Amino acid sequence: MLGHCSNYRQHYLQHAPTIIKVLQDAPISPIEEIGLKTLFRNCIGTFLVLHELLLFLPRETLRKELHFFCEELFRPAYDSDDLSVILTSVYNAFEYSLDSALRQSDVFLMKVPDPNKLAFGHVMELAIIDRDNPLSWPILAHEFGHYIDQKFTITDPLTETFIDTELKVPAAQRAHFRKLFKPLASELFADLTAYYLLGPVAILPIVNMELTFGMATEKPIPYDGVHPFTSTRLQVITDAAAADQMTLGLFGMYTQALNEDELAKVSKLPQAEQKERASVRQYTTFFAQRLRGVFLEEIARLNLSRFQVEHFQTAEQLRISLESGIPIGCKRRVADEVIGDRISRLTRTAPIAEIREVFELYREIPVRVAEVLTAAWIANTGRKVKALTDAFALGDISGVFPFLRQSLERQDALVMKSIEMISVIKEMVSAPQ
Amino acid sequence: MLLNDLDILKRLVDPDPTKRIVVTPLADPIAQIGPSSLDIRLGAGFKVPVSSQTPAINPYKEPQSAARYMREVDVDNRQPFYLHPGEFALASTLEYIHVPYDLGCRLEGRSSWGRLGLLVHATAGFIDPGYSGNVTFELFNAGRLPIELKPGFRMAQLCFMTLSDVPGIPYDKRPESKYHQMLTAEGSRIWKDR
Repeated sequence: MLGHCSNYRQHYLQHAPTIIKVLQDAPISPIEEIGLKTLFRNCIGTFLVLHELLLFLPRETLRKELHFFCEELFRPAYDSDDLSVILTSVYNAFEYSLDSALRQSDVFLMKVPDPNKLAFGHVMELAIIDRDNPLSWPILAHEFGHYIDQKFTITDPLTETFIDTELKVPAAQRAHFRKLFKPLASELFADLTAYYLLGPVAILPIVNMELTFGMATEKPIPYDGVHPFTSTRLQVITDAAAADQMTLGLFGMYTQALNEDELAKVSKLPQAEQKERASVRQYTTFFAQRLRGVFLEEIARLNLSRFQVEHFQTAEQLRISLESGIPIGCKRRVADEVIGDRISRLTRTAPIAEIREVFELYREIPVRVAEVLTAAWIANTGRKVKALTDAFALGDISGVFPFLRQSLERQDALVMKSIEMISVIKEMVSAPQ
Repeated sequence: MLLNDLDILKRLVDPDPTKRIVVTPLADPIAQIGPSSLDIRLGAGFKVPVSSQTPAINPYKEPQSAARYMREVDVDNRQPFYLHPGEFALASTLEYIHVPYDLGCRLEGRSSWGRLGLLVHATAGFIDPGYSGNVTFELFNAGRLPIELKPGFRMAQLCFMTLSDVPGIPYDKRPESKYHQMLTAEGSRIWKDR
């Protein structure tokens, strides 16, 4: 932001001779007058836009746990201040360029720009209502995917190659196919980046959002020309996870709910629309299947930390502690049964070195944030029906929503505490006392 | 009877969940396990008193006076929290603990901090059987120089002792319990007293 403003310093210096003339009441030429007016208008415009943006922003800061989440997943981009996250007042997560936001703000109508029309860049929005909701933070990993796609120009050339070599379309139709596939490629790449960093649960906040809001409408979510249908996106991630040996029982509930909802709604549409949707599904699925592997290879080149099957297994173990109400930021390397066996055989007369060796078995090491979030999503998915059953079994209808709220907030608090544990211990290890 | 190091360690992996002590994370067992105690660390959340808008704390007539008394201060793990002479602050342990029904637990200071004038609890050093959650430190600097604190510092120690028998109503079963399952530094809830 300051970098953008500093450009004006240069512009002012360039126009300094004209400014001096004006200050001295000396005559200036019509060209100098236009130049000066443009400079003032742009400069004032920028500051008004900055003011406008600040005015519309919520007055809340990001949580320190979210900073750690971004640092662990997105470094070194996040460390180098190349990337920032802000909270927004809308139920939205978006990733955009600040320059684009400044250019498109309508200062005179005092409107913030429509994020959907902004170019991708390096500012990631998070809805303020998700500030304390860590299960929604994986959406930022999707937005990070757009950032790296933009920064390293990944999907555009790959899509071009796909159109030329796989589809083999005539030159006259290439523009049409580019328009069709480029936004899709960008979204699929972002989904796969989130999957690469956080594992299969990275798609669940998006699915959850659609289940929450989409189910409230009579019509199926329309195809916007950019995002594939959520069920297709879920299928892409399920396929990727299966290829990585991650079995996703937890997805069954989501897949079933999404498919049933969509089928019921689509069946009420006119035949022509049904046919069109089937065609969209067909070509997005084909496109995703063809490019999934290539996209993952491209992400792998960026030296990001990949979520793999062993992390998924750790998460499944951590879920048990989380469901018992215990924070899960750390784990022991050795199973409790093994330690129990060693300590029970230890005598008080054993050499000090041997006793300390047993002590060492109790050491807990920090897990990954991605493992914590995966454990929380698994627990959350399995818990929903039980939580609802327990809440309605209370007998007091006024107590149902407070009960559900308490249950949800408790898990969020446990996840936050787990992230705090990871960050404190990692910092201790990097800077020993 | 006070539990010694090996007994504490056995309890940490006891296959019977009703007997198991939970202290997590145990980041450096060799440093943290003493002959009859287990050191615990400072977490990253603090609360400091705000006195400018409250003339006095009157918990029974004006419950909000006690609730408003403490303000949350989040500390980045790389940044210190300075506790100045004569100042009081609440902080949370990094560790989540669970005390089984057949044990009592005491929060004690560490000599190395005590010698600098740092107290870790104002008056409440006892943790009841059945308690689960993070423990709140009541930090007070009785020395003459500010003390720089950072999340992860070993601040205090827990001692465990056996009870004559399991209590009739442990802490987690008692409706009057006010601080069960706390995960952050919690201010006083004295207005809930009857």
